[in-house]
Amino acid sequence: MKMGDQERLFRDTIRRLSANPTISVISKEIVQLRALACEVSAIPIRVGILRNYTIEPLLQFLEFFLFEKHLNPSVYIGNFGVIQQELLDSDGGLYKFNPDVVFLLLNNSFFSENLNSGFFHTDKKSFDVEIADVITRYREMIDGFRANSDAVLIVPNLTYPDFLSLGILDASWSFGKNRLINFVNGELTDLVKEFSGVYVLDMNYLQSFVGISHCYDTRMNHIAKLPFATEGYIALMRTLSRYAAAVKGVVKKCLVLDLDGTIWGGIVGEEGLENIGLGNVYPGSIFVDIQKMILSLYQKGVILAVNSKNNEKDAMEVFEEHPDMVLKKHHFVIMKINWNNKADNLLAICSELNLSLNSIVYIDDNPAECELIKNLLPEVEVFKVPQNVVEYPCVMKNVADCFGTLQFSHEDTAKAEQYRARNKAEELKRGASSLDEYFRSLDMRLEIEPAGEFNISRIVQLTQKTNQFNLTTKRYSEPEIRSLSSRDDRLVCCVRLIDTFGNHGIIGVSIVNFEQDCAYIDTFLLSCRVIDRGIEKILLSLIIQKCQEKKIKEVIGEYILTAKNQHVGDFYSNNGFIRKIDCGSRQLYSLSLKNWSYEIPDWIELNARI
Amino acid sequence: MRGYEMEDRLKRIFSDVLNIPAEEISETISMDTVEEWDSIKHLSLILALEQEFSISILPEDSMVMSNYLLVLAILVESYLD
Repeated sequence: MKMGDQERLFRDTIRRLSANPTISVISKEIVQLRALACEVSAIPIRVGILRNYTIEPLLQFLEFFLFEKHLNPSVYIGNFGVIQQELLDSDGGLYKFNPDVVFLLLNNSFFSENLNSGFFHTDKKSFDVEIADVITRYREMIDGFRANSDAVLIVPNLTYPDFLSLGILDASWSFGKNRLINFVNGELTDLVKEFSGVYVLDMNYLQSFVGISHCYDTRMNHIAKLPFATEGYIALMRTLSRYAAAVKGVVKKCLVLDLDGTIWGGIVGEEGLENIGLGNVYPGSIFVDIQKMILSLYQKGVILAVNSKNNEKDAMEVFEEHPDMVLKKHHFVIMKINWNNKADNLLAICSELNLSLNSIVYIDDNPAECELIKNLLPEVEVFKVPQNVVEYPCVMKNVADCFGTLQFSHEDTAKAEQYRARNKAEELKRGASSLDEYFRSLDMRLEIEPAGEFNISRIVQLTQKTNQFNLTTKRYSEPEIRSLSSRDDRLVCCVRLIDTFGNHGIIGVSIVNFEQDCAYIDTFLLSCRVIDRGIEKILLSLIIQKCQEKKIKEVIGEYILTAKNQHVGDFYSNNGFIRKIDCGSRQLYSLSLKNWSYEIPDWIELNARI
Repeated sequence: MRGYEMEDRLKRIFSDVLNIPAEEISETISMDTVEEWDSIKHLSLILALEQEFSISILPEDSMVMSNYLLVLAILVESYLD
């Protein structure tokens, strides 16, 4: 297998598993992934783990999450419960392994049995002594480690118990258990700052996030010393992989955003500034929260950019005029607002910012655009806005985690630069063949049908609402469409799309007038969400084929310029028509059918009933 | 759940976790005959079964599930409709 093929297989396998990584599927695929990881350009990382609970059954998840970040791990696991010995033995297994990062996976009982059982303190002295003892224990471990290694050390903080003997009184008790744990965790943060390369593994937050009731498994804890439920372990392994990525400098730097449906609801070019979803009413309120989260990433140092298919004027109007916009123009380093291919835009952004594709996170609401980027630019981390927008803030949390850094990296900066430079050269060699594969992967089915009872109201709606991909922007009422479709010298048709993302319904309309041996395309419009997938060309060609059947010799197309449809001005000339008349805002194009022929591409299934 | 559908899923779990081709999963598969099926793998197997069938297996049951037939019998008897 060629290098490129292995890389592709590696990424495709990971992508397939990422959707739903179950124990059985990961068990099955991990063997192949390990083999592939050695062949592709994954960054090696040596991970050491010392632990006082069982982790073996879930370790493959750590490997998988590291593969997801394009890291190739070697893992050393200390024996069960052997901590101090490993830390102090300079000739021991841990140091011989020469780790890049060491995780101490220790639960509360390692530090003090008291922390596990329901015991609480009744006086300040014993309370303070316990805290001091725990902190001393941490300090001794870190000192012991630092005496033998410069590697990054990640130490766990304390979790809240699920049994509080004081119950509701614990939070009001000066020497309550949770208060003790909070004091220890607070002092732990100060402690690690005394050292270089030591960080806290926030087990407390992990536990809260997963939920105490979901995080643990009493039964497995007792029979196998596996304290966590599967959900808890997977969250833990995912968290460990983020620390590991930060240690190796595998951190994203730039967040690229689509606009419509991504930082505001709806499509501004179609619905108008006043109607987009942004404000204090659902769903606009969610988009406001999203923008605030993105702003906080900006404040943290993340570079922001825009990649949107829009008329620049429409999009900028939102930034300039909409009162509820949290994000402003000056927050973005680059704005690519045009009708170009979004992959090309991303490559341009990288080139202009001098970043590699590996540094980019991209968010879009259109599943087809997400697939395009995943296929053509697999190094980019792509997030799709969930269908149910209520789930969007949760997705943003995962986005934020991509930018998590410890601001400390063992990574040799020169080596990282080389890696980035080498990748850039590869990235720029994308070919059209990838685009074909992408189209094929969409599994598109088109149905072209004449106007009839079941589609008339939708046809009317599209003529009324569609602004951007609309060649003549003629608005029709229902009686008008009915009347036109009953005429022999008129063709009113529409096109339905079904693809791998589902049934999109009717997404395009065309109205053609036939006069003797000449045909005039009165209306040709498409939903802007499905353009650039070859559909417009296919619809046009089918209409021309119909004209050919009717012995038409010449097809005329008209383009009427509006504020919204500037980018489709070249449509007819890009499809073989010759411009005959140009009045500035109105143009007429002509196509002679003398030697015209067309072949439907094989990546689409077509059902033409016109 | 239909009997054969359930068995297919069960065989797939065994196959994935123990790294044995699905066709070979039969009465002969046990902790004694499969070298890879040690106590760690046993935990993975139990967790995988729980994840697949959305069940929670009692410690008493998991401790006797040492061969394929027993797993099948116990799951059918106590955990699956």
